[in-house]
Amino acid sequence: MSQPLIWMPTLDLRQMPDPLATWTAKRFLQSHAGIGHIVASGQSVIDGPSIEVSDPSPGLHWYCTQARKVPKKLRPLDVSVAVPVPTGALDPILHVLESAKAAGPIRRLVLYRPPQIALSRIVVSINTLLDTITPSIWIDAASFGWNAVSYLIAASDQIQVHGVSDQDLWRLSQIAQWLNRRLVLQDLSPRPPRVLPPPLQWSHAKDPAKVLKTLPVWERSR
Amino acid sequence: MRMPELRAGANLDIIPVGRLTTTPYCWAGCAFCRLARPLPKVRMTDAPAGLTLAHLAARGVNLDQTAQIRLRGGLSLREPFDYWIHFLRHLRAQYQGRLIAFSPVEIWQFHVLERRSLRDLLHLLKWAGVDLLGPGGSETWTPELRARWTPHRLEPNEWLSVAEAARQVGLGFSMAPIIGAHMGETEWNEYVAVILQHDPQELEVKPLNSEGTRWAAHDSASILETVAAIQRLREATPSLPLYVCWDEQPLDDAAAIFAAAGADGLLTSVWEVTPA
Ligand code: SF4
Repeated sequence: MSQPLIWMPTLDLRQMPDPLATWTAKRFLQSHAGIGHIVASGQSVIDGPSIEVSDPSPGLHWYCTQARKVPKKLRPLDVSVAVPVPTGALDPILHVLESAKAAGPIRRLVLYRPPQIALSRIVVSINTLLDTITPSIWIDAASFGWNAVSYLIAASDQIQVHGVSDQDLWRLSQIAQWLNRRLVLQDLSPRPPRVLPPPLQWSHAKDPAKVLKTLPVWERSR
Repeated sequence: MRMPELRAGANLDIIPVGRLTTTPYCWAGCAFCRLARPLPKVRMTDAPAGLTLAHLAARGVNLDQTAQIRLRGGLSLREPFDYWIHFLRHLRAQYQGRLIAFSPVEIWQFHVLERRSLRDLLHLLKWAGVDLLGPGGSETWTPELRARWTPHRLEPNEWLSVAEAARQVGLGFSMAPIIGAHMGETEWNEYVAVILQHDPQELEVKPLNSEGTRWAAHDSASILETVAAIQRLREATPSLPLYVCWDEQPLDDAAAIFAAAGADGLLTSVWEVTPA
């Protein structure tokens, strides 16, 4: 069996004012067995096992979304980069990747899909990034759409899905089952992942005659 | 799973389909069917009135927006076969595209109820300008799956005799497996064997959409299952036209993936008219 598929519930608190953010973060972790990833804006009071911040801060993982020079005293930082898929050698997004690399090792690359770009072009870009920047890539479920997500996961086990909401977990579970991969609940902390149960399997009628007799009344009445 | 490689610009034909439903009632009650609305203990003559040309006019559908129109329906039909022949004949007079009407399931019912030969019925369909019989009834070929899904529908040999008669009168027939977890190795092998033996004019791949059916507790088919089905059918029948029914927008990604897997076209509904 190949690499497990990871479900990493993610809470983005970058826009949320503080007391509410603390409360929300607590509820979020409680509802996912204490496992979940939080993205916050800066040095914050939020407590959690797996946190990234969008303002570079000493000792915290940096969630980088735009090109930015990180002061020497803060380096090296562990960096996650979250950017749209670059679609050419001159794409300004490559700058963001360069500046992130200068701040420290890129630990995670999260890609968003720009609108109106054909899937075949996206695949070319992702393959290039896998060869040159990082050995694994997270793709954003909402902007990629589940058709593209399904295709990409099935095509390469170096790809994981970012931003899968609780309501969409069944989709991930369905894909994992079809690809015969385990689905685990995990965040970026070193704690061990939890294996999630697979969906029910379809089974055939054991005794066709019995099925006929148990059909709803309106069918039997004809 | 081996995923097909995507090629830039290699998309398939997106075929806009208009769908007509003769009646949304059907006594057969197939588990996967959304038409399977019960009509308990109602005489055929008391069944609600079926589709009329006035329904189409009232909906203001644009016939020219579609490349094909498909007429299908439940079996609780009040109208006799000749009503539908005239309906189709009128539709044909206004429509240049492909007209696909009824399937062996409805034809068999008319054959039994009106005691007319299959050849007569099919000749009339041809006379009305129908191009092809729909694939209804060709979903399953193994007894276990039939018992679970379509216990009251015509028998496989009855289906095949309608298909064979359609071929003889020069009206083709099509087949359509429903894709989902119920299609195991046995079901697939049986399905492919029937295709190879009876040589339909074209194939459709229908991913199971269980919403609103008795099967709703089970998952609908995923795009990966659909891709695997296309690959399997393409391998078994390299030259048979192969279409995928797919209504989920946006279509672009699905179309690119299905094209790479070997499908020839994507059938997508643009309008649907059903009598109330
Ligand atoms: S016979 Fe056809 S219309 Fe009737 S319930 Fe079965 S699939 Fe639906």
